[in-house]
Amino acid sequence: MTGTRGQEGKLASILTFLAFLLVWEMAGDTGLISTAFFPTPSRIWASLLKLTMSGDLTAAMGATLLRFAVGLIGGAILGALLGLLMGWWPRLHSFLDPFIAAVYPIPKIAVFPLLLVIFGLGEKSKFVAIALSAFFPMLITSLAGVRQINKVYFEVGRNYGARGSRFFTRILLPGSLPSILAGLRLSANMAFVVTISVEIVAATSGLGVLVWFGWQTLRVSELYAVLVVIALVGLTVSYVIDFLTRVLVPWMGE
Amino acid sequence: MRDKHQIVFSCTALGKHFVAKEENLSALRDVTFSILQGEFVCVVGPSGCGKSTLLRVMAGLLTRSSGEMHFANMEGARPHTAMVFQSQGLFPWMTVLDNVAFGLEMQGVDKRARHAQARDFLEKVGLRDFIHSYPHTLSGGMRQRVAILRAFLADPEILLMDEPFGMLDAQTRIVMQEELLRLWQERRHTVVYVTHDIEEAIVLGDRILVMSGRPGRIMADIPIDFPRPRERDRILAKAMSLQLRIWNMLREEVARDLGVAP
Repeated sequence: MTGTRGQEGKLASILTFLAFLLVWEMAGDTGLISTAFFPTPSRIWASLLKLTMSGDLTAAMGATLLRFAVGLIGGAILGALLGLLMGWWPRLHSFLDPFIAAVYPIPKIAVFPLLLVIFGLGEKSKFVAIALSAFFPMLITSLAGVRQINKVYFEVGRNYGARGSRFFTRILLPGSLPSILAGLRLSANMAFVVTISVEIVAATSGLGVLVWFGWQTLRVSELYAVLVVIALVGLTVSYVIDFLTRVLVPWMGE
Repeated sequence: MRDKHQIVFSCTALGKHFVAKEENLSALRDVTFSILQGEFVCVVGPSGCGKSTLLRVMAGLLTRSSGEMHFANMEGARPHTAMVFQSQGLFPWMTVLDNVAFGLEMQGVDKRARHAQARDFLEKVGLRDFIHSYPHTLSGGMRQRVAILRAFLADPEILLMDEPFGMLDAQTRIVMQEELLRLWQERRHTVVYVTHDIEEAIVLGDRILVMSGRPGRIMADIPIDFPRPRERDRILAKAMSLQLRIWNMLREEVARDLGVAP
């Protein structure tokens, strides 16, 4: 893809988006659509400013990002480690596989009540739920990552005397790193869904709480404003992972 | 100084068979030979004859099924073997510098020392500009050059090469053969070089082991006594009769493998 063509595409999509907002605004002003359900972009913007000024939004975002980060990092690291171990050690794989196959398909939010019973109403149960949701996609992609490493790299490693931790850090880990980063993307998506979900179900702070509060008080424009913020957070996370991929996997080329 | 006529490796009645889907596949049978210090030994044979299996057994990547195998220098600090693979042998996640230094790294040489050695080596062969490149940015020929440098720098008792130029085009291959001869001329490592290209074996080797079709055994052990340093073109002019002699041995094996009447 050439640079100018990429830029043209970006420009076109921004213009389309602006045109969409303009049409929305006019449709709301002229009564073509109900502003009770679809408040105009300018109203949403005003709500966004109000939420920001009052400090509610920053506090909620802080709470959400903390839960998300702790859960994602914890779950992803554990998932990657176990995945790499299972990929390298077939016996561990065949031992754990049935358990994973049984637990993996359970929607993690369904386990949340159980986690509340075990860990209580505090942050711990939320961390565990989010970590659990990040754990499985990471486990499965890193496991696949080990298996797709070309066998010749293992042979070179063995022939040159790579063993133990050297083998792990110089061959197994970098060889599966592209898959691990793809797994991180999946894990982050899952973890973000579960973060917002547990907040809606059982939290007193966070973006999930704000969005639910918007519904309960029927402040629809606030609800939209928080959704916009949630979308932006998700987008930022995706960019961070893009950046990490470029930095950590420089050998993959463009 | 290492003794020129010392035996560095020997094997007797080496055999290897694989069990695949309840079928017993015999890859090597009764392979016996020894290698002298500093010798360049080429192994030629039809494809699928077990040449690569032999190298992998020597490299410790496969265990032998029968027979004996012996490296003379058992307690030395140098690794027994370092292998150059046919392709894809460089780690894509390491720069050229780290790839070339990999053998030293695994021997526990600290980063500064191994990078210095690898850099010197790369600069000497004219790869200075590619030190920090990743393998995917290099051509196939250049990648194999780097893989060969990595094996030399690991300083093994025996360098094993498994058709290292097999995937390269004919012209690149010629230049690579000359480059390999230059490197070897300086360092005088013991080399076992597997190829199916008779001409290549004659240009490079001190000795040619001719292997039969599967299960591979050694049909002939032919000394090549063209003087060194060798020039490829001059040798080839003289080598025609030898080339034909080896080909006549192999023709039957290849024909039998293909089911063609010889």
